Amino acid sequence: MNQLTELTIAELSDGFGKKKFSPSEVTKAYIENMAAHREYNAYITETPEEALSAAAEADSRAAGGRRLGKLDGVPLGIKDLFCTKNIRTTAASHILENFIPPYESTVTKKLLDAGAVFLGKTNLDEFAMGGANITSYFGHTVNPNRRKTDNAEVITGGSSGGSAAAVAGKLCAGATGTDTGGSIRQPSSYCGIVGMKPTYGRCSRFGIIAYASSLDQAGPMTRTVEDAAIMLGYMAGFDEKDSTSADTAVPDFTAALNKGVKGMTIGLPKELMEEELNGEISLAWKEGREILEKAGAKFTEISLPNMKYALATYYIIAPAEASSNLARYDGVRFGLRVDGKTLDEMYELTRSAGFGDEVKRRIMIGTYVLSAGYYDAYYLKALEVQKLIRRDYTEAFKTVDAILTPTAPTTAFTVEESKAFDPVTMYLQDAFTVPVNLAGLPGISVPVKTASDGLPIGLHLVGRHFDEETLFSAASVLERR
Amino acid sequence: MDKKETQHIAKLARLRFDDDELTNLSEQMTGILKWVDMLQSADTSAVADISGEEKPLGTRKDEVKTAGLSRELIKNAPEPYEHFFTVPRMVE
Amino acid sequence: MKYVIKGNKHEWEVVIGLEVHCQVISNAKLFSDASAASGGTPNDTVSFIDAGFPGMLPVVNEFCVEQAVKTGLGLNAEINRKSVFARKNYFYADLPQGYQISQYDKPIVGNGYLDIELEDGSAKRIGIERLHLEQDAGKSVHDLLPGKSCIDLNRSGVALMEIVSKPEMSSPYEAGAYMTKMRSIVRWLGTCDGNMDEGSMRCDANVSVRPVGSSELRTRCEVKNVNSIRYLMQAIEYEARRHVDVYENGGSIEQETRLFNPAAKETRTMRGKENANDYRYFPDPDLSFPLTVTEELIERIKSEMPELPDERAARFIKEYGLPKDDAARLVSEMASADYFEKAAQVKGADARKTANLMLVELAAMLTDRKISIENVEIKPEWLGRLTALVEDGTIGLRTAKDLIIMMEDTRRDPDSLIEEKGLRQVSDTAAIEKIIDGIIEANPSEAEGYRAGKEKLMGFFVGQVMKATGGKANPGIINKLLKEKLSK
Repeated sequence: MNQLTELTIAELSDGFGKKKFSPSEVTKAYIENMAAHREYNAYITETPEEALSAAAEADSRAAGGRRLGKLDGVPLGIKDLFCTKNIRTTAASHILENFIPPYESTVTKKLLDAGAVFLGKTNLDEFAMGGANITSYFGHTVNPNRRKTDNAEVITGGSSGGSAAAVAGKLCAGATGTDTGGSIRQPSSYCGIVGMKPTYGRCSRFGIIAYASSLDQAGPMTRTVEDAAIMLGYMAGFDEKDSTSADTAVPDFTAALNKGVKGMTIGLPKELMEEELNGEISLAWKEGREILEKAGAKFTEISLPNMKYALATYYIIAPAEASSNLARYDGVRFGLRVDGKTLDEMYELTRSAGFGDEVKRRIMIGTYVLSAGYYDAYYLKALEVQKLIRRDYTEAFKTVDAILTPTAPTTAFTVEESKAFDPVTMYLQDAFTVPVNLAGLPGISVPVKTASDGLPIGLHLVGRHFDEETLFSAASVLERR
Repeated sequence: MDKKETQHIAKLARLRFDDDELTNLSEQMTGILKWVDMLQSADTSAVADISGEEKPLGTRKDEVKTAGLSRELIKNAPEPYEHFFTVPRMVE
Repeated sequence: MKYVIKGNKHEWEVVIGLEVHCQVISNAKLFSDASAASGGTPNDTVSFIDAGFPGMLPVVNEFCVEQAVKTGLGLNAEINRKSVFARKNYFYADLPQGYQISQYDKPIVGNGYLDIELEDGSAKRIGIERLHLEQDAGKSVHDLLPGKSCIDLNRSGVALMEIVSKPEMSSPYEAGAYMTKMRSIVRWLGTCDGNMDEGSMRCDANVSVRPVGSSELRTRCEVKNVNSIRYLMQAIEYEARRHVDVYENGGSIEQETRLFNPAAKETRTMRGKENANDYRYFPDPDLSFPLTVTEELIERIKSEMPELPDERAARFIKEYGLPKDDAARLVSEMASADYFEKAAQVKGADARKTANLMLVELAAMLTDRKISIENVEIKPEWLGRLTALVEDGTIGLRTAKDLIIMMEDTRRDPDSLIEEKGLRQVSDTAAIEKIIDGIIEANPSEAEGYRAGKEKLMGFFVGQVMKATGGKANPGIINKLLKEKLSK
């Protein structure tokens, strides 16, 4: 195993600065790893040539002492939901299989401007719809961690499963993800890495293929909390091209890393404490609490009475927006076209061939809940419940600085096991992460331990709007255990 | 949800399903809708009193910055013709 | 003058509501930085946002918002401090996003009104229900390729204001007057060019009928995309008559969308209720914060509002003593009202006579040459000077009329033309007297005839004198002298 790919972003940056090794050497090491681990199916598109040429530029900057910052020369994976100029961007869908964007998303542009090296486009659930990364047109991703009990190959979680596998499997130093209902945090938990979903509006959505616009948010997926803080600093910021992006100053997130948790009050939702959780998950949660307590945090019980409605609310709002967001995939201007005799026939044939089952299912649900006669009962009701959920958090954050829960109700499972799930059971994987998206809050998943089956378990910290710093402080304590 | 209703929604969404798919989908959608029906028990009577902080919508200036993209625009088109996108003929 | 449709069984009245679409005057589109100008290479003034590309996001153009507010104020309407953009979902080849961004239950402008003038000169107030902002669609070209339609998205995303009236018009004339007035207001405000031929102002009419005296609202039909005021009136006339015939034959009207065919002067079904779209409106999550109009903005726009046609006409009547009809005609266009006011400022130009000269002689020349008041070569000051020159007897009205043509052709002021061409009117009594004596002498039998009572012969003598003086003699003096001499 190559030593260079073991290093964190912070260590790489330090090494580049001290000229211990060059961006090109590190990039080459990653390209070798990618080639050696195609079985993870982490990447949909690899871009080694572009990566090497970007790395060469970073080399000369490093050699000349003109590094652009901590990300300069750092090889990253980019979720294939971010449009990248002149690089194929598929959203893991057949309908966009050959789409080459003539523009760059704001987040990836910021990363490129910071000197980052893009190794390729990582796999995901089709249009980010899924929690196991098994709905990709390009095949499911494979978790670099195996289940020890039966040596089974397990899923990565989703939808940012390719990014999670790439970070965990050392196929990139860090990766971008997007999170609509848990798509950064849940696969991070399953793969044993750090995943941060920032406050809604923190990162621009411009150029990110939309799933559910009011919930989608980009964030970093890394091996350490520090790396997440570094990456987010470059990804975040106001963008006039996105009306929902926040005109809020971006702090130096890394400054929060060593602040500790003394004087911090952390909440535990009593609704979750009363629930019967998976034993090992429950134990990890308890251990996490002890770590933070030892470091000086106080714990208190809070109530999120409407959390039980979050998943159902999510599965109305997200598909409703998706049904409209995906109407543009019609075979006219880009993407797949299946010809038909009439316009409507062309639409139907194109969309039916281009979308996979889960995407179609969500479009159908979304269309239904917005349709005449059902709008009030479903969509409007869901918007109202969303307000209740937001209020629950507002109330809770009057007394606590952060909330601690597990990230996911289980550890990773196999593809075969997931096939036995009905859609609703599958959706339950997001039960702890979804309410956070509905409230627009920041959340981070931190790996805390390995279950007896050898699979990673992550804990989930949730903070106030635009208070990612508190999460980084607490997460770095949790991670240091 | 019966098959007829599913078919109607599919039509609205411009999706096409064969008979087996429709049967399956109707079943799954019924299941999902039954599950989300739990929201009906949420008491939202006081929801109007919740005042969330609302930011004003961001705007842009009335400036033209994009022009002459025609070629770029149709580069990804499945069946372009000169500067146009095309679709099956819409009128008889 | 009530508009009544006589059926065999009842007398019917018509109920009309109009939805007017006005293309907003702006540089860029409603949600993108591509040009809003029309024409040119297909798909050239289109950004990736307008073409609905993956990951593209709309950001609203603040000037289009101001234009909507300005129009709302011009329509005496409530400006909603918070409004919301919503998606109207449907599939069509010219609708790249698969939805139109519009406003649904929270439009930017609420209740307002405008006043129209009826045939008998009385005024009627027509309520306006709302004005909202929305995106225009692209267009399809059907005759370029066999079996295909070609899509041009240049118009896609251009800002439109949809202005919805209350169903308060009760004749084709009223509908026409409403459109004329609406067009005039948006043109005065500079928020829409009002060009119906080019489609920058379009109209759908909601038409129903009911027995005279009833207050019920029966099923209405929507007649789409009527592109002239004349067609609008014809379409309503036809549609109302159709409803009456259906009812009187025991039938019922189905709510549907119909298209007007100007050649046949009839409407036909476009889509029935069973094919009505389920648009699944919902708030656009890409624009999820409310569109906010501040007090400051409203105050600023108010301070920039021009005087509107009604106010200006009232001022013309009061300040210049113009007849109501003249004032109304002058304010039909801002340019003509401005022209008049400049002309009337000239020293010695009587305002009423200036208006008259402008509305009769200048207007005749403009009509004849098919030019608009904006493009006329004659400066308003010259027209005012012309009025003053007629007034002080320097020239006669006939010369003034000739001078209008000359000024337009030569782009020169009236004084220099009068000097150069020697057009000054002869008011020297002695000189005219001499000419008259010669003419009476040369035409003894006509003089005899006049004296014998054939008074019509006066015209003959006037003509002769004018001819002899090259039209420059003062007609008042000619008449006076001729009467004296001939009665001797």
